[in-house]
Amino acid sequence: MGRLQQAGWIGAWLVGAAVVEPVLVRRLPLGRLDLVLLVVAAWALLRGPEAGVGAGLVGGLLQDLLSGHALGLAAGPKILVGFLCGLWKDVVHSGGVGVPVLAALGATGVDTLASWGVRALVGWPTVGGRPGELFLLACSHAAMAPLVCWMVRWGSGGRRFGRAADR
Amino acid sequence: MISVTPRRRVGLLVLLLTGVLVLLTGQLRAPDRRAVGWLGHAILAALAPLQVALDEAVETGERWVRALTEIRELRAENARLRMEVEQLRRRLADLEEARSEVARLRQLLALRAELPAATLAARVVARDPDTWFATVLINRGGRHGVRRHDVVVTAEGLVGRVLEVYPTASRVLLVSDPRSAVGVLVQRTRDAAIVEGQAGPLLRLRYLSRDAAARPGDVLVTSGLGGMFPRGLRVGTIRSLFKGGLFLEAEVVPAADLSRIEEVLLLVGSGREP
Repeated sequence: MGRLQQAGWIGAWLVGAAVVEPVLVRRLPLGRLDLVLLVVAAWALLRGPEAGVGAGLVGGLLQDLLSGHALGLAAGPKILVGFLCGLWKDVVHSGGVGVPVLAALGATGVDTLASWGVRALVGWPTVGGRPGELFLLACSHAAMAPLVCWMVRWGSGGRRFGRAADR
Repeated sequence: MISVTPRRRVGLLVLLLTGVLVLLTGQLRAPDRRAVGWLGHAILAALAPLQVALDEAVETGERWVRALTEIRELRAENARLRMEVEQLRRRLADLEEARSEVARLRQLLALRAELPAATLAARVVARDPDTWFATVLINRGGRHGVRRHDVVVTAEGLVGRVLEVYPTASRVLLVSDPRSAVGVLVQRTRDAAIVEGQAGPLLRLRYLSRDAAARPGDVLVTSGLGGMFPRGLRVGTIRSLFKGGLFLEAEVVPAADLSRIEEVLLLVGSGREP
């Protein structure tokens, strides 16, 4: 799969996630679900930190555009998540569902903390969920992560996650 | 493939994060603290219809799911309401029964005040299944002071007399039994006669003088002449008159609905051997 094809593939996934997310979220009892975060994390696990930060930048900016707040509020944390998840590509040695689940849990925590940090830095109100809501959000992300990872991987050459996939 | 060193990776991260921070701070002075730019507008213009279409599709799906769920709920509710209606119907029937009983007992109470003798209320507990004989069993007997030949009435009129007395129940011989004979007067003309049972819904008036001026519709009351029944109790109404040998005879409709009696009054101590 060429670089252009890969970019088109992840771009389509990011656009899809950014479009679907607001439609789904208003119907969910939880009130929050970050599909873009899951796609960024999955892509980063699959392709490494460079691809992860790229996906984070594009996905975050799309989220910013569609959500109505300043551009960059979501993009900053997503870049960080993409980078950190990308680092796991060289650390995690198994290709099971545990990798995406752990990555999703970690990505949720990092994204939340980074969002608070960025908002505080530029003087935006630091609205955030209570610990219970964050826990539920993390659990939801963890539950969905294997499926999202499988779908993102499906059209990009079928690579497994982690170093074992590169053998 | 170009190899990326860890330092370059971190450099890329720092560069992008710095760019984002610059982008953010650049918007702080903008109206609403958001500057999308022409490219952003173009992207939004392209994505908005997608979101609308997706929302409509999801909405349609939700409506279908809701409809299916509602059908199940409506079925359950329908079953529950049917059961409730059945319970209410039963309750209504019970109440109607109680109301009817209260009305009958009120009539009996009113009659009790009019009667000269002491009375005892009783309930019909069994009916003679034999069509040739008409007797009923009531729930009052010797222990309650009932004696053989005590007269039994309802608010409508004469029912019969006590045939047999048991300790806690009594058997009543209805006026419709062929063994029953009651001395009567035509209330309007004061002509005397005898009413006999004939094992059917109607009674037979016998021994009415051919000179009597009785006519259909006339009310018959007990004459008190035989000594068994007190005077003046309603027995029935003449339905049709006809000649029967030396006397006139008549078909009589009993005053009391003998096929439906449920509560009766016993005239305690009125019974005398004929």
